[in-house]
Amino acid sequence: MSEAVRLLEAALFVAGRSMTEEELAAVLPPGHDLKAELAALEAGLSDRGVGLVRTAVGWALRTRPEASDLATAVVGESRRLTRAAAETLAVCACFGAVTRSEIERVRGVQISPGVVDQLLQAGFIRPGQRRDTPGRPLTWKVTDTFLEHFDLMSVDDLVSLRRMREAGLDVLPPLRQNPLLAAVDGAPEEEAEEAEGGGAGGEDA
Amino acid sequence: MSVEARDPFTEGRVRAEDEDRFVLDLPNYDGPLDLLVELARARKIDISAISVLEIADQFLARLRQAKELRLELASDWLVMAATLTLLKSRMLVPTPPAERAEAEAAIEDLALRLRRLDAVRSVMEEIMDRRQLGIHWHRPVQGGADRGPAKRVDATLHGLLSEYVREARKTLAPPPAPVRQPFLVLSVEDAIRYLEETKVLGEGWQSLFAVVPPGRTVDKVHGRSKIAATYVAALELGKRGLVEIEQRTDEPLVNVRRRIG
Repeated sequence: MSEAVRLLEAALFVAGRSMTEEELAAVLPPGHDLKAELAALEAGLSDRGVGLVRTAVGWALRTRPEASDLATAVVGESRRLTRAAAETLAVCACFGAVTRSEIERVRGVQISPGVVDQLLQAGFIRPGQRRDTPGRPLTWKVTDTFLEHFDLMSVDDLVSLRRMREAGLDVLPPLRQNPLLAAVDGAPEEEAEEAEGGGAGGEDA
Repeated sequence: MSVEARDPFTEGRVRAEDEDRFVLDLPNYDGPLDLLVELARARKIDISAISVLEIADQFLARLRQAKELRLELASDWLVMAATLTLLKSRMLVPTPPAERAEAEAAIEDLALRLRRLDAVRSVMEEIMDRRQLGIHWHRPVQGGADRGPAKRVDATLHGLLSEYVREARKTLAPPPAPVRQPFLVLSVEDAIRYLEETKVLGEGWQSLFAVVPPGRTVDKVHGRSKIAATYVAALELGKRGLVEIEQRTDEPLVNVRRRIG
């Protein structure tokens, strides 16, 4: 293993997080090809418990998934997201930047403040631009931490999201007008029943 | 009815059931009203053949016949009959096309929302099924820099602000308003009643303090209110001509007595 490869490994180990290619290039002594050295490091780690992986940000060291059970026993399993938080996160991933009320509109339920806090604390979402609508509400976007956590290069990697876009479902629902609901209530019985079934489906689990 | 036929156990129950039900006797339906409404709702009976007029007649007859009408029952029946009428009128009169289109649009909208939500949920499932850091695999634990003298704290602007708000809520909150116990006082009305109803006022002069209502004095305010209320009560009675009040120039005390005659 060459000096340059050892430097890269040490840098990634100390950083703990992903490092961009610029950051890694700064570590290398001049005159080295970053791509070649990274390939050498990857090859050198190929039969080890820790490997080099590409992330949304750049490069990072990761334990091998097949060797991670013992590692998990050492550090303890981190907390999983609640269903409400996971769904809110999915809405942010699907629609790019969304305001809180837009998330509620898509999910059909009100979000409790703790959900956004939980995602914020995990670093999965960050505040984006304010929307140019009354009240100038803050929008929320998914972060690189989110991509890294779920081993994604970008949200486009999600097959179901691509399918959703193909079906044209990636537009935010319009604001629900009250007369519309009134029309449902006044509709013939059988159709109203359908509407009731829909309402039940939208409840929070 | 013969005496033997009276069963004290079943009789009451049967009668209670009868009172709770509004049983119809129509040419093509014989049974309780609620069942008819349910059947009509489920389209298991042809309501076009049911005469609403006949139901109304029987309803009125039942009302007249009932000795003690239970209002909530009658209102239940009324709602049932109204539902039936609504179902029937809907069947007889075709829905106006505008209303129909509106209803269909609403249903379309709802269906789209549900499809979108389903899509979002499948995205959620895909995300949650992915390999997760800290669960399925790990990164090197940040060593060195976050322990020991070189410890560094990272913070984002948003993190700082929300932490500030959380702290400010605790430290900058105004102190709670003191809870005042209501004063316990003797009211003037009570003092008047006391002076009037008891024989404490005699025909001889006595000090006002002597006619203050007895009883336990709770605190200073209560004690003072007793004296003040008694004084005001004496003045009021004086105005009505029932009591005489005097204050001599040589002593500060106020004396009272019942007015004679």
